[in-house]
Amino acid sequence: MDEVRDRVWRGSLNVRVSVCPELLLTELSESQDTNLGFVNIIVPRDCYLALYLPNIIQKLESQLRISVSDYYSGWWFEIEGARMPWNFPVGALYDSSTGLNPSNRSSLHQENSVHVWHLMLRHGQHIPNGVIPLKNGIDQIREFWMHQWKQACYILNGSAKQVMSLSKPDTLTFWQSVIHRDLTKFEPIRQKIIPMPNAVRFIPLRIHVALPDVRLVEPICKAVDNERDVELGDVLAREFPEWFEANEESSNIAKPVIQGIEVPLSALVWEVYQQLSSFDGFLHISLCLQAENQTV
Amino acid sequence: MITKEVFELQIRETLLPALRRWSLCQKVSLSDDKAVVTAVVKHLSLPYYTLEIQVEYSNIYQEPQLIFKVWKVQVEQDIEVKQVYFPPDLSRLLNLQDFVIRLDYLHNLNRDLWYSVHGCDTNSIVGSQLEHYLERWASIYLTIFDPEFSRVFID
Repeated sequence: MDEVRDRVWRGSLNVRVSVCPELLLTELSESQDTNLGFVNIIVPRDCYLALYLPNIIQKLESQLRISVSDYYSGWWFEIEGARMPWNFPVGALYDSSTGLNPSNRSSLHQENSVHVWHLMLRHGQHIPNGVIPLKNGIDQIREFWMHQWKQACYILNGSAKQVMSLSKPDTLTFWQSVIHRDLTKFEPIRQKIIPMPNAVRFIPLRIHVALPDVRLVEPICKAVDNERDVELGDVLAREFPEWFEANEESSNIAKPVIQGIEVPLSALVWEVYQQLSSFDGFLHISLCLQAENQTV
Repeated sequence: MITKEVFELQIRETLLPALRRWSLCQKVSLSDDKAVVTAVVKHLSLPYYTLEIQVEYSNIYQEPQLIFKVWKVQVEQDIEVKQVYFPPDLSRLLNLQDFVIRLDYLHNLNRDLWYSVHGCDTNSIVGSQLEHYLERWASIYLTIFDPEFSRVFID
């Protein structure tokens, strides 16, 4: 199996999820014990963080002042006070919301430390804007994910037929491969959906931008345009002319990061899609702004 | 499929006038870029409910994209408050038929949540002929809110 796909699939994040203080038992929220009120987990970059809600909540349940009746409904995550949607791969959210260049990020790692992403777990009747309420647990997540694949399939092939006509066992295996992190079962089914290079209609792209506002851009992107393979820089210069100049990598003030990897603007989008696209059928590109002293 | 240019033309020439003729429609507006229509519509029979409907162009599907919200007037401490409402069973409120409707659309403007009517099979439902495309589309899709919507094109 392709080594890049394998490494992308195995990419993970160290996450510390703290419970918002109002949810903690009074004696714990006033306690000096610093080992309470949080859980550390390693999550795959290429998955929905919401899939880990039961695991996280079960570990924290005994410290909560509410009695938990549902491990999905009413829960959401925040990062530095901002709500975090669950409906994108967690790695793409990490890359866009931290805005850290991978090259700088690695310099933060030291021999005796690891980089940990801090999130807060919240619960309430009113889910904030930007978060899709989870009313039907893991079934809702599965249906949502499957629908992403229908969309991606439509963009790639001009029809969702390849997904709609998957056999029941294939559909089940596809989802189970995500849950059980089994790339050997995921890839053959994914390959049934992805067209041959000469039959690609458009490439499913999602560009995540966190600054100055959080927004999602879904550009139309061909694999080949005017008999020329489309490069990542072409798409970014078209969609973000203020940040990217076609063919002038040195003056750009942002960098595209995909699956935690800084990808050169000269990379061909279709090749990048095949190597780095996510478990939902989309290629998620996070734009990280460079500090002034990082631009050449 | 419909191109963005034809979509925007037919919005002005067909959809906007039709929405203005629709007896349930209380308010209709076109965005500054002329690409998004928003209508506020009374519920067919339940006076405490209104619907905010938006039609825009989907770059992904190259089809009209229909999204909507349900608003409900509720009395809270003797004051009437109009709030976005997510009914436990949408089919009791609207004429859903076989449309795939999901509560999964995060609006790009302020990330608020809308119901979306999925457009994967729009082409097979509406047909490919560009002439009167939005008229055919609206006659089918807007029956979610009013089974007799297509009358606006006849009366």
